[in-house]
Amino acid sequence: MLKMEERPLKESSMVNLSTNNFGNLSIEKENIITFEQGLLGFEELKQFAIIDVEECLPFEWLVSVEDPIVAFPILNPTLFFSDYKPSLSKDDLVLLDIKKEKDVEMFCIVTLGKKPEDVTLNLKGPILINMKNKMGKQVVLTEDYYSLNQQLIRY
Amino acid sequence: MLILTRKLGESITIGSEIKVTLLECQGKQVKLGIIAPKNIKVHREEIFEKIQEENQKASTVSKHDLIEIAQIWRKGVKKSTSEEMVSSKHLS
Repeated sequence: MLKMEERPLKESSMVNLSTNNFGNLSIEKENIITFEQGLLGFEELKQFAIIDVEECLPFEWLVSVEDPIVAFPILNPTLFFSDYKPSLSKDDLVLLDIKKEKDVEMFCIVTLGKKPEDVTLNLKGPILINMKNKMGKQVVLTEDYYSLNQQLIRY
Repeated sequence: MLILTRKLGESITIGSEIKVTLLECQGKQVKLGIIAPKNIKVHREEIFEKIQEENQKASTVSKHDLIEIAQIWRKGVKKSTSEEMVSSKHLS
């Protein structure tokens, strides 16, 4: 139980989201990631939060703050594709104000099919997030060898 | 839209830095060569549409379905060293 005097500070730093998949979520404002250009097809949504649900790991969720019904399953692609290392354009590095490579986290959006084997990752349009300033972007890679719907590979 | 007619091997320039050359013509397919500065991204148009579709599809995934999938794939990841990365990042 929080002490009364701690409450105002605590509340102002949190945002409450009412979601379909995860019930009511409380997100710390400082963890909100801004996508100035939205995601492709969802350009009007600019703010997202990464939600970890233990039963879903290693998959995580990118939940819209503005429309919490919208959530994308995401995955760190290097868990399955350790050699995934797309070249990032200067423009994107500038846009996200990325100074060091280690500040960037990369995620790929996951889609499910009818069978477990039909789980695919979008390696062609990864999501870059500068964890330092919480700025994100879905980029479209120019490399031809990355697939839009890459099947996961079982080790 | 500006419409130009070009012969094989001929080019057009866009601004002072972009050049598009008609390299090959085979039936309904043409091969274009593009020279542009590195900061100009060149994509096939349909790639954006396809990524939009993938995003749309992903946004309909339910937690319930992902939990099922996660169970299956976690077994796969466990055998690799990646599992250590997952647990140190999220579970500890």
